[in-house]
Amino acid sequence: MVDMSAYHALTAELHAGFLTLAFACIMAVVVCQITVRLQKRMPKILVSWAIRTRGYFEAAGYVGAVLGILGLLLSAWTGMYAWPYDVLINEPIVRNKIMLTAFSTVMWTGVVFIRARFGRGLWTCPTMTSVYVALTFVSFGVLGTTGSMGAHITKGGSAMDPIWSLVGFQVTSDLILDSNVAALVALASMGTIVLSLFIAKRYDLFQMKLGAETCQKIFKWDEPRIEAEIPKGTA
Amino acid sequence: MSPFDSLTSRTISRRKLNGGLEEATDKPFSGKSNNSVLGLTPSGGKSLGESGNLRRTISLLLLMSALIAGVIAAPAMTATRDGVGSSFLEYDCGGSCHEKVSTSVVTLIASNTTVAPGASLTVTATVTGGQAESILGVMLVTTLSPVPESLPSAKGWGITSDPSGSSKYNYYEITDYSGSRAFTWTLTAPQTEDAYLLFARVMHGGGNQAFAIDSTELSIIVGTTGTPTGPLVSIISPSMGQTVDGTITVAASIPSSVPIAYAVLRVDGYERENKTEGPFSWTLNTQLLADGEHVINITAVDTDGQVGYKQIAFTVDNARANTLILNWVWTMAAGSIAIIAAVSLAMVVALLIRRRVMGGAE
Repeated sequence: MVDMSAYHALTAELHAGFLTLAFACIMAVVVCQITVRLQKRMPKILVSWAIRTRGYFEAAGYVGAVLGILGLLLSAWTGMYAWPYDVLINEPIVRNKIMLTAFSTVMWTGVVFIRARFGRGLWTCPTMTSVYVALTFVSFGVLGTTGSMGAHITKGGSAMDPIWSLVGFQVTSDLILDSNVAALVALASMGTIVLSLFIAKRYDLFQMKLGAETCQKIFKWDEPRIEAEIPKGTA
Repeated sequence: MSPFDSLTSRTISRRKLNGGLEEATDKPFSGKSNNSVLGLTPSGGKSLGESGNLRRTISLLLLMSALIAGVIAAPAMTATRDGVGSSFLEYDCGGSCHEKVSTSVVTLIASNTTVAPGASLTVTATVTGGQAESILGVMLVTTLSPVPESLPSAKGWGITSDPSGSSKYNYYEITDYSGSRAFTWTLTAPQTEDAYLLFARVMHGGGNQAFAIDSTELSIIVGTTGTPTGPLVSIISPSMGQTVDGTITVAASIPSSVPIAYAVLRVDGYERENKTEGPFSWTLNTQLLADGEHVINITAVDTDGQVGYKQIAFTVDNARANTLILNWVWTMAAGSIAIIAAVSLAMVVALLIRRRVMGGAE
């Protein structure tokens, strides 16, 4: 019988790997889009490479994020069996890690939701691209923080300690709110969600589609699609 | 008219450049984009906006590179400790304060637990695991209080040899720790007959932090006069007056020259469990006790029928622990909802801006 901690280690590596891949791919798409957008200022070979690869980066980022979330859920599930309940609950750093893992899961789910809802076309709309990329960036930052906490739990320190020291963040201090404050935050957040839904309904945003034909007027970014063949005479 | 219109009301056609790369030129906006891959440049000439974009892009790339380089170089920035070298050290900080609790396991055993005054004996501290990378030090002390006079000599112990075999220090440091090591001191017992305690303290670095952990006490009886008539019971955990919650381990040390027949744990006078062999440790769920002060009593009886016991008071505070867990769950839930709300709001704002700029065109 394989020890559950072995499965936990496996799924932890799996989700970290997939989500790092997703982050790297989405950032690569940003670089490719900027390169294509500024093609006249860029070396031709770089523009050609960006056109050929951005579609693959985009798809890999989406798939990586989906598999990473599955890995996260599996990691949380195996972690419950791998670690004794007392250890999970009694150590502030372990509580922090569990909490940030939950936040990371929600954020990455948001990344996947945006991509699933708007498809590749989201890259043609600068505002939605900003939301997508910013959320990816923050999600990856939270993931890195949970990884740093994991290193503290198992090895007593992490490579990110100099950064935490610089910004004055203590990974071992409890990051919890008073339950009354937390309840207020939850209530305000639910109000914001209801308001967002109301505005979306009011302005018919549920039906809105994003694509090259609709958004180029704003910023002239086209979709990072997978090109079977570069059109003759482009690069 | 949208402020973007003057900039964006154009579509793009191409002409071929020398190197085969196409350059975009402007034509009046036809309401539909061409479906090209490259035809995205708004203007054929060098506009101020494009130069600004380029500068911003380069700055962003430089910033990202610096961040990535910082993360990669972080391990190299980790501080290293050189240790303080073998010497006489009081318990206190041991040369530098080691505030983090080490995950290493340290046990302290003696060749004899009952010796004549001035007689020779050896004590061995065995260290396994922990975060130490190479440098690790172990000190032999008589108390775990951060006060002077914790040296063995303060209680009359003599050190004939330390783990090096050639010197007589109470603190010995190595630089080649690789996960397991034993440290042996040869001692001469005090001249005064009594019961004595010895402890081992392990100190080391790891990552960028300093770690330490103490062994449980080692009880040694010197002489026979004044020796307790029964087994000498010491309660290792919880400590006197400690506040606890959840499930705890009650551990006792019961050194005796005569085998222990049994040891009994009592809480507030009620018997919990009877053990006939070591290790003498019991699991106690404090959720079954009311919050407040309680008394633990451990009674040991040896095979000669002699009795020894120890009693300590401790405090149970599960309400504090329950409040902490409740706050933690609330924070987790509130944070998750807040993230969903922030993303929802950001998406709505993004779509509203797009709708405003596009004027509702799909």
